[in-house]
Order: sequence, then C-alpha cells, then structure tokens
Amino acid sequence: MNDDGELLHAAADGDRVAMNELVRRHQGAVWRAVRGRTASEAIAEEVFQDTFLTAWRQAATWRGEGSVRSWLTGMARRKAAHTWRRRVGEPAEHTPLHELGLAAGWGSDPEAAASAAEDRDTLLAALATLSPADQTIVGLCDLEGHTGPEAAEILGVTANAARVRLHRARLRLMKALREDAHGS
Amino acid sequence: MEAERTLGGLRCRDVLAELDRYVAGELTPEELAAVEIHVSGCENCARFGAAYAGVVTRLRTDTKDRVPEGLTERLMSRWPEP
Repeated sequence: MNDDGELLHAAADGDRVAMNELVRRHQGAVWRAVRGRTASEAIAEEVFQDTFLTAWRQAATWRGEGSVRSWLTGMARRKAAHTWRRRVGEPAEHTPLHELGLAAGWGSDPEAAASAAEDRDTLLAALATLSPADQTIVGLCDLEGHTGPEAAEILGVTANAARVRLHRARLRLMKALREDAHGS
Repeated sequence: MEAERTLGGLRCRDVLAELDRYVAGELTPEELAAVEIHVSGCENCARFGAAYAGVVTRLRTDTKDRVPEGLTERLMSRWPEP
C-alpha cells in the first residue's frame, strides 16, 4: 500500500485513483475538522468538498513537512474559519476567569449549558459562534483529540498557554450554550 | 463572586481555575485532595464541575467518523482536469 506522500505526489500528476484513496483514508478526519467548526451540516459539506478539491489542485505544493492528514485538516480548519461571523462585542481576552465562570452559569444554572450540549446540533451551533481562536483550540483538543502539548505545538504557543486558552474557550462555549437554552 | 466559599484551602475561583486539569485527571494527589474536599462541601462548585465535565464529554464523544452518505461519492466524481 502506498503511503500518503506517494499518493499525494501521484495526485499532483493527475492520478484520480490516488486522490480517491486519499479521500477514503482521510475523509473522517477532515469531516471532524470541519463539522465542529461550521454552523450547519450543509456548510460543513461545502467546506469538506472544497478542502479536497483544493488539495487536488494544490497537491504539488505539499512539501512533506508533517503528515498529509495534518496538511488536509489544517486546510479544512482554515476554510471553515472563513465561514464564521464574529460576534459583536466579543469579550476581551483579559476577562477574569471567574467572570467567565459566572457567565457560564456558576452559582446559578450550569445545568442549562450541559443540558443544551446534549443536542449535537445545538452544541456545534454554539461552538460555531465562538471566535476562530476558541473554535480552533476546542476543535484541536476536544474534537480531534490532540493532547495539550500537541495543540501547543500546532499553534506555536506554550503548553500552558494552550491549556489556558482551552479552558477559557470551554467556559465561553458553556456561556453560549446557556444563552441558547434561555433563548429557546 | 457572590456566594464564593473557601474549603479545602481553596476559594471557588481557585477550583474553577483548575477545573480543566481536574476533569483531565492531571492534578497532583495533593491538589486533587484539596479540590475534592472543596467540591464535596460546595454545591456551586460541585454543580458547575459536573456541568463542565458533561460539556467536555459531549464534545469528545459527539465526534463521529460519519461522513454524510453520498458526500464522498459526489466529491470523487468532480475532480477537474489537473
């Protein structure tokens, strides 16, 4: 069986069979990278296809740094990021952690967030309202299963910085879920 | 932080700050003991910790290798000329 790099080089020469094999091998990972960063399945499908079509067109640009999978999922995450809209009035990064906790329901109704998260579409829609940075760290660690140190290396930050970002992002996700629960 | 308490030598905001490490099982034995003393006596932190863990669990188990049916086949029929 050809390794991914060989398949991608073949795809760069126009080999559709090779490209199809790459799609079969990495469709799950690309789908996970996309679905958790888009507000709807329809948008996710568009980004999924766009990712592989771009990989087909740009196969010759892969330089062998890192795995083909990480190249594909990185591309997918960036494409998904372009489908987001920023929320007006997004809180500054220096918001004290305990204030994020209060907004997430500490001391009042934290169960609202957990209950809303039971519905997959609600959970992913809430995730899609977060900033690109928040979506990326939650996506890397909680959706794609990267460890904190792995996410830190991908993002080019310290392990502690990645850890803090993840924790704060999860609290903002709980706030978004709680708002959804109160709004419905 | 209204209703904040100090138990096990930790304020509620201290427990909140370590919640991610607690859920991940990354606390030292000493840290874990202090957090568990606090959580066992603080309803707010116990409820919030459970909710936080629940959301993380849903994130981590909601991901399925379930590419929508037909999506890949539609893609494979679309490769443009190289």
